[in-house]
Parts: sequence; C-alpha cells; structure tokens
Amino acid sequence: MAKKKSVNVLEHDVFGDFEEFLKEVQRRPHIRLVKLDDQGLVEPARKGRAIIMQPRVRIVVTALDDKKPEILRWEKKWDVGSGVVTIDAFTGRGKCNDPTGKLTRAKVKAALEARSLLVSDGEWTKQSAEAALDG
Amino acid sequence: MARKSTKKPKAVAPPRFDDYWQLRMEGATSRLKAAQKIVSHTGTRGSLAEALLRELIREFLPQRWGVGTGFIMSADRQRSNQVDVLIYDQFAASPIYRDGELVILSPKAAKVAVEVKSYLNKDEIEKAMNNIWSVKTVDSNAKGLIFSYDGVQATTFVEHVKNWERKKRAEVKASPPGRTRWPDRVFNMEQNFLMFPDPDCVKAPEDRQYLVAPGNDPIVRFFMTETLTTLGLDNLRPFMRADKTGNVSHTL
Repeated sequence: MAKKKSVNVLEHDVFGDFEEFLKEVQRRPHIRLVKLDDQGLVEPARKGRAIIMQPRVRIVVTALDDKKPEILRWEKKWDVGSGVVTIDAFTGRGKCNDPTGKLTRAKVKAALEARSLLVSDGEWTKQSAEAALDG
Repeated sequence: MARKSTKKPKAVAPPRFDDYWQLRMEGATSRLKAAQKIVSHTGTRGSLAEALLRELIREFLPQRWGVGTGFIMSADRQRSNQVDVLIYDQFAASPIYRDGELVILSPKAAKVAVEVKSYLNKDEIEKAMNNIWSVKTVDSNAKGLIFSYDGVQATTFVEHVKNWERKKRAEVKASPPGRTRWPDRVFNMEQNFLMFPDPDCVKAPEDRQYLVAPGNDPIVRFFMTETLTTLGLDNLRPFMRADKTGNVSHTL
C-alpha cells in the first residue's frame, strides 16, 4: 500500500508590519482563526566586551492558510524595561509606553477581532500545523 | 501665637523596584549559601540543594505553576531521566502521575527543567548534561537549565564539557542532534560564572557556540530572571532588567 503523503506546510516571510499582515489575512477570506501569543524570553546581547542577559517580550500572531498550506506570521520583540514600543498599526502615531506587553497584546487582539477573526492563544509552528492538517 | 512650621512634609521616595529586586535576590543567595554551610553530608547536601531551590522558585510563582521533581514521558513511552526541578503548567496539563513532589509529565507540560548540583565536578557535569539532554530528547520545547551551588573553576568546567561532548558524539554517531540538546544555561553560584549560547553565532543550532563569563550580577539573579521570564509572568516584567556578565572568559 502506498504510504500516505504528509502535508508540507510552508512558512511565509515574517511580516514586519502588522497592517501588511492583516491585509494578507483579509486577502484570504477562508482564514477565520488566528493565534496570538505573548512570550517572555531572555536573550544574551553584546554590550562592549561584556554581555547582558536582556529580558524581552515577544508578541506573535500566526494564521494558518490550510488551502495553500502556509503559515503567515507577524511578530514584534522589545526589551523589558525599555518602556517604549512602537506600534504603528493601530494609532499610526508611533510610540506607546508598554513595558509589560499587556497593552500591545490587548491592542493586537482588538484589531484582529474587529476584522471578524477568531483569536485563540498559542502559535502555529510548522510541526503543529502539519500535525493538524495530517489529521 | 504659635508660629506656622515652615518645614516641608517629608516626601515619600518613589518605589525603587530595582533595589527591591536586588535585595530579594541577595536574600535568596544568602539562604542558599547558609544552608550549604551547615550540612556536610554529601547526600543530604544534594537533597537540600534541590529542595531549597524548588522552594525559592515556588515563592515567586502563582498557583498556576507547579514545581516538582520527576520525569517527562511521551505517549510512545520514551522517558527522560529524573530531573531535580520541573516547573509545569497545572492549568493546561495534568501530570500523568503525581505523588507528593514527584511527577511524571507529558511533553509540553513542563516549561522549565533544572538540574541542581551542590558541587559541579567532572562526574556531576556529565550527569547534569546527560539529564538535560534526555529531557530535550523527549520534549524539545522545555527550557533546560543547570544550577550549581559550587564546583570546579570555569577553565576546568569547560574542559569537562568538551570531554563530555566528545563522548556523546561517539555515542550518537547515527543521527547526531548536535548542541540542540545542550542546556540553555549553566549557572555556578560560588564560582560565579555562567554558560550561555553566543549571541553573535550565526551557525545552525546543532553547531551553536557557547560562551562562559563571570557574573557581574549575583548568579541567582541570572537564574531567577531566566526562569521567571520564561514562564511569561507579565506582572513581574517591570521588575526585570538586563543582568550583566563580565568579559567572556571561554568559548566552546
């Protein structure tokens, strides 16, 4: 018996701009669900000859286009404690004070729901998407 | 007639989160060091080292996060070695087995796995590296840390890690996963150094380079920042700041 061919999910280039991500998702109306995750991570970064362990916040929004199949991804990372993050997508004005990431997460969620998208927690990865589509 | 006082009311200083956090970390360091001073029996020291670290972590965590010791086991019965500290999500996943602090978890339930050593020498380095390796074999998402109260100096530590790697490469010749199963960080409190991936390394994760550097901040602080940030506790984020190392002493 022929072996069942497993799905190969592609990863679209990461969108640098949230508006572009939204436009792409809306161009594919069969996408109804997006996943939103807010993670904390510590990344080593060089500072002169020494290194600092920089706590950061990462917000990531992923959508799985099951027809293609392809993962669309927008993400933003910033330093915890820097206090300032630039989110142009919602206000168009630039900066907001958000050292914890909560505000950004809420704004992203609101922007997605306003476009009638269902938002669930988590992140699509190549492995999870292939497992889901392989069923 | 009573004269009106011209004294200005004393202003209350604004909260200094950084000082507060620094003091809490110093308190934690003292507590761990104090316990090590009074217990000399090797076995007891080991259990005490693990229990104290679990307790220290627990103090900072909301009820959502469970702290135990145990294994990670996948549905196909692949099992990790026993790890000293497992931090797992009690809301999202139920342990397969739980008896007091001992837990058996399914993959993805554990967010952080910590190997705790009271003295990190050649044998203990091998054991700790192998245990984290076994965790990452079953659950590649878990963060793997090694925390040691004391041990050999950084130069000797690096030599032992290189020797361990040579042995491991010979063992897993068929499909070498490279350094993807190495711990994400190694901390040594008394010798004051830590090992971490090189931020400038552009090689594939299998060949990523690691650096060793002394801590300019207390080692416990590096450990707690790493652990609490990984758990995504956003209310603690304002307390966090970048911890500084000294100059890199070794590359491996």
